[in-house]
Amino acid sequence: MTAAAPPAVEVLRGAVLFTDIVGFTEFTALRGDLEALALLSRQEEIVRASLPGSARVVKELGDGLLLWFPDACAALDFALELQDRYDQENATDVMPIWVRMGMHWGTQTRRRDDIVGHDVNVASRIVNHAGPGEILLSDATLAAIGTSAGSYQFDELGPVVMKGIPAPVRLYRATRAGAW
Amino acid sequence: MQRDHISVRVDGTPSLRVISQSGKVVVLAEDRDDVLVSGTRVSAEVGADGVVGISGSGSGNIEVRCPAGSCVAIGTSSGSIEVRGDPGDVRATSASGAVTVESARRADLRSETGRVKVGCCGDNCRVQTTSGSVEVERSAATEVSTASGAVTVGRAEGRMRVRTASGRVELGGSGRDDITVQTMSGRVTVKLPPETRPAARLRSMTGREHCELPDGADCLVAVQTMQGAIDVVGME
Repeated sequence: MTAAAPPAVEVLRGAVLFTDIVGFTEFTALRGDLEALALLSRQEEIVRASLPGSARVVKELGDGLLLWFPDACAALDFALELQDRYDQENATDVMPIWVRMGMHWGTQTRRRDDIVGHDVNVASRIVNHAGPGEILLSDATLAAIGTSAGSYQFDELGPVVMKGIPAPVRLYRATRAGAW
Repeated sequence: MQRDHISVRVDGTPSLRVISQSGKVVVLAEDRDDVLVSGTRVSAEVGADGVVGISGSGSGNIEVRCPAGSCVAIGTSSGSIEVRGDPGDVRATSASGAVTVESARRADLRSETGRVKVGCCGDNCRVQTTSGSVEVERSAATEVSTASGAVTVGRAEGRMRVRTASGRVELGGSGRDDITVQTMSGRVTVKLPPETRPAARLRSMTGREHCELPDGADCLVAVQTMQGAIDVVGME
């Protein structure tokens, strides 16, 4: 008897970006389900409009998103642009909406349309440490950004111990150069 | 259990990186010229980048005594963090432990569920929690964000920005620097020196908007909330 050949494994290398709408539960409680749905649709519009062609939305996670980028700079540019768009939206609405983001560079294993792996898990933990409107990224992401890092401002948070991740990860807060 | 004491010789004012899982971390910055680390199963060594790396395993507490002005970065999973004395920049992140900093030059402090308390921060002070309350007694430029914790800033001699989904917000401003508050629900009170004439931009969908100080241009006070009263008052 011949054993079935193991399925081919596709390993990717890129930046994983998790987003999360802060206060989505409060928003839904105060404004109702229909407005919450409209907010998610608006988020989708904004994301699709800004997403570079080589990147993709891997999946929606309730009010959050998992995105994948082949290039770390493109991922950070996208994240910064998304925050700018949300700031513009907030200026015209009494109800503030903030998105927090966590980014990590590494390898991911493709599983149908999904991606899995340790580096995906690290990215999902990083977002938990971000505040409203913040973009946090790992030292691996910063290394992947490399010589383009001068275009941005990075404030180190120090070593962060994350649940289920054996080694502490050094995190950085990313903003545009000169931002507060 | 045996308690280790490790002394690390340093030149000048060092930078420290402290990592602990669930044990409490206490850092005391004082007049001394070495770094003394005490605790059970702790290690301390100077890395290639010149930073003193200190780590403890398990639930053992770590006590670090370092020269005044040392820059300290601390990460714990569930252990609380306490920084006393006269350090330089302080950066601390804990998943569930409380973070208490007596004083710092600059601070970036984060805890998901723990309370964060700052005595005095001479420069930028940034605090972020998910559900823990935040209390800053005195600071310069201050940025606080929480999902559901109460926020209190006694007096900030610099601009302030507060973002919170729900939770009471009480801020003391200088009267010269801009204050921005965005919240979904929760009462917001901004106290300014009584002679201040602020440009108040208050927006609440369901709560009272009240500024008892005369309109002017000394500083911008912009408060945006969905639910909750907004009060801008003179300090007593």
